[in-house]
Amino acid sequence: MIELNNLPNEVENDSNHSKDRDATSEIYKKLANIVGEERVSESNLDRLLYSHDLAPLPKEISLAFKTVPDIVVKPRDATDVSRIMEYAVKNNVPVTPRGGATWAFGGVVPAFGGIVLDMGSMQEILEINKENLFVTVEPGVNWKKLYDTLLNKDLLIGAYPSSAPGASVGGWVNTGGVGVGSYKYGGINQLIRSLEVVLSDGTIITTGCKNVLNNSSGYNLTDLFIGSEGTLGIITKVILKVFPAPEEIRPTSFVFLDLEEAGKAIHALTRTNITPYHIAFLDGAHFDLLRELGKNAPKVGAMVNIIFGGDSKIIDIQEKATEKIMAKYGAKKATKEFADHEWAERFFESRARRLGPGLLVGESFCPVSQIVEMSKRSQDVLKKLKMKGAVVGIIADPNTVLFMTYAISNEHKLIKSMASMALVKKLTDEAFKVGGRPGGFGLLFSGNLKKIHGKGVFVMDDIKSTLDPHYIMNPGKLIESTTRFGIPIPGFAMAVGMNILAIMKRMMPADKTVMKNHETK
Amino acid sequence: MKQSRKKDGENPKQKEPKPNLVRNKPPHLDDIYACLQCGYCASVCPVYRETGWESLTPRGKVYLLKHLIAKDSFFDKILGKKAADFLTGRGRISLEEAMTKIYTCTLCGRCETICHVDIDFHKYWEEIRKWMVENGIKPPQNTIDMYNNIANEEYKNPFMEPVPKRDEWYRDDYRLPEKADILYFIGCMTSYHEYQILLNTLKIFTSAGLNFTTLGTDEMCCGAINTMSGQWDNFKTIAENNVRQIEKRGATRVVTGCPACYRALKKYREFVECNFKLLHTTELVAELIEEGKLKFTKEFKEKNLPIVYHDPCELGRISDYEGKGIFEAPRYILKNIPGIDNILEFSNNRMDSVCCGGGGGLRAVNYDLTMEITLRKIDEAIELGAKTIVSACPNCKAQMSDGVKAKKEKMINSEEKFKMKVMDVLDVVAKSL
Repeated sequence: MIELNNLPNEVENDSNHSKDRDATSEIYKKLANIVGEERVSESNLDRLLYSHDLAPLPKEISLAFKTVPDIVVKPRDATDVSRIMEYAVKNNVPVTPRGGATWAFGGVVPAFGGIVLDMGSMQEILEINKENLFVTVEPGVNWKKLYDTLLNKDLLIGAYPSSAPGASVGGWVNTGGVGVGSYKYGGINQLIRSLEVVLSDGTIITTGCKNVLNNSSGYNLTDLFIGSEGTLGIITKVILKVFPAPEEIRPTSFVFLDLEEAGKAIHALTRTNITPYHIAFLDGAHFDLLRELGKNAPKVGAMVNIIFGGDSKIIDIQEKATEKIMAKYGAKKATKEFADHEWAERFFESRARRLGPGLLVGESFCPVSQIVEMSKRSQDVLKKLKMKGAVVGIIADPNTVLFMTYAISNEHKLIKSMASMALVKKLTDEAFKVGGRPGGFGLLFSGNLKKIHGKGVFVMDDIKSTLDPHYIMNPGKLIESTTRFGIPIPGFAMAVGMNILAIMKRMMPADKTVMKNHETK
Repeated sequence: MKQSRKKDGENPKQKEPKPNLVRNKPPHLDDIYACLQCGYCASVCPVYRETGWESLTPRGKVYLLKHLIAKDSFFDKILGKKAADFLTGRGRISLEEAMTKIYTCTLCGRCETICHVDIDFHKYWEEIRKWMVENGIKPPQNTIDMYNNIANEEYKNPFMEPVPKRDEWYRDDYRLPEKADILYFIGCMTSYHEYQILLNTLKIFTSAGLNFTTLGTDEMCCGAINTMSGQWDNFKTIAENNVRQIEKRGATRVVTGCPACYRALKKYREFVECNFKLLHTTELVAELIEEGKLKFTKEFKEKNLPIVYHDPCELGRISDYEGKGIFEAPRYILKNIPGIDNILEFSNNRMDSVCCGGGGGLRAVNYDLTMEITLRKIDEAIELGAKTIVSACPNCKAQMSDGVKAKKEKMINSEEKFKMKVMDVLDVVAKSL
């Protein structure tokens, strides 16, 4: 490592980092001194690659947000992060933490440039404690790897995201995720024992107790950081509850005539004491698109995948009871091979992107009692916007459905693909109408936060300004949408804009999917 | 002083035509646009595991390519490229840096196993490299040197070894016929560096009474390194030369112990008419064992047990994508060796096998990085309790032998004793004869 003369305590004259090249290389020197030169990069190439996530944001977005960071840093541990934060707060540089970048709401996309902290560099599983049933991991640990590692040691993490092979632990905590297994074990907020967080001034805190529940009196700091989209602090360690591995994980699949019957059946199932490990449903259109891709997919109205986990004998009983309920709504049970295949495909729901090329996903929660209504509305939105897509989702708990409706777009056509983004807004609107809420906020949808929490947002504002008085922690996300020139985007303006896009999209010709060299049979 | 040097370096560059990547679109364009950026590939990428840079993940590389071939956006047209770059903060991307990133890859093809949108990565990366070279982007200097060495009549191999040295290990001990039914294509790695495998293979074939021969000093590098580094211009010449030599010997079956040669020889069919059947040595030896032509007399040394088998990427996964993966033949052979009752498996094996680090010409580009990948592999073998790592590829053997040496150096001060043998399947067979 290169030794520079005493690094800290030297505050630059101009506290705002400027575009000046020298100023940037000053950042480089300082950060390289903290983490070592091989862990810092300010090359155009690296900065470009850290300026996006799953969302296909057009280059024009740079008019509003400075999505390209000034520098990328890969910290090794909490101490590194702490020293970086100390530097950032002194020099007023925005810091955006980044995990697997598998979200489509721009949570890891900088709004004001600055430092991107690539937490993917911290990917060690630090401790697997079978005695007290917890596991300590660094935030960059990949969910699938964690799941596999624990299963090898006869342990189970309760839930994991449906993008587990790409998503990182820290990322899912910061987006307050629900996913595979949430029906039985709850979302990430119910699975965390404790977090280690670096605050904006560099203080390292621990939010819970690694061995026992956190439910006693005292402000629950853990929950404060769950779903905070990196706006309050940098998570550097996550302590997760783990469970004894089930004797068996048994996937089953049921074929329905249409999504309505499937919805009714799911509703009926959630009103019993049967507790499957995971429930997912897929529109028949999803399989149509797969066939268009040349995959061997069945022709069905809708599909419900119910996965059981636990002792085989108990599963036998639960499976029988479930079959009865499903049969009532006209379902046919698919073969075991098919169910196993569907289970293996749980991570691969976005294959249809190739047809566009392009894909938009609208995440929204709604009550299970409204599942039929919401699926109809989602299908209507797709129809009205003349888009090809499918309604898919999972059941997050006995009264929550997570819809992950997707539609194909065409990234080659700028105006059309921009207009297609109205889909996300329209699905959000429908979710509100049926008593639900949208999934994430990220870079563009912070206007929804007020719609959900009302005056609660002011409390959130206060929390934010207490923990991050300099407003450097992932600024421009969640709490407030502000363009790079300091002009805030109020929620209603965003809504008006999105509605205009929706009208445009409705006037344009319908989307077509063109697939080269595919075999449709 | 500095300035003048800079000028000298820049002048010849200016004469060359600038690569126009926007007009000359790369192959598999659909794949580039289809990429979801889900990052599943990063979770299995051995290079990402060691470096942690987005630019070294398949996802990052695809995004980079997408950027390099993108037309000027609406934005660029209105404001002009320079102003737009300033506003977006993007700036020009150095093609040399991009090239280095694309070449920092072991071509192990494991990203293909998990790809969300089914990109055929096993050929994708090779063809992207080819496209880059065709567009005038220079590959890493080491690979250019290798290319030149192969083309040089004095060497005909990438390692600058003299031609006569090719058969010096066996020239005097084995009288091979001029014409034979089976031809053993040795490969440069085996001929010059891992000659133990060569000698053992000859020993096995002789003791099985096979009618076989080799190309002797007429053998030329198979051209695998050319295909890996994107320098395809003389591949057809190489193919023609080797096929002509093979035909001259009247062979109907060509057998090679090197998976890289195996794949390159398979590619010959696209350029030249080939009238021979291609086999990997493990397939042939498995056949010999099945027919009872090999008699094992000695037991495998107990102190070297247990063994763990490593699936070479090119022999297993990539060959599987190209038609037929060879997973079972080496395992079948090992199971038949007296003394070996149990073969350990790496946690990721067969289609999911993790690269040893030595693939894709990365050894020539970034040796230190390959060593890190190898050390992780060796650590897993230690954790499994293995005493011997067996593979079926001279490149894997060389790489992992280097890894074991590096590990020993690392542990020189520690009290723990570390012992690990690296062998080829054929080494194991020959020891038991």
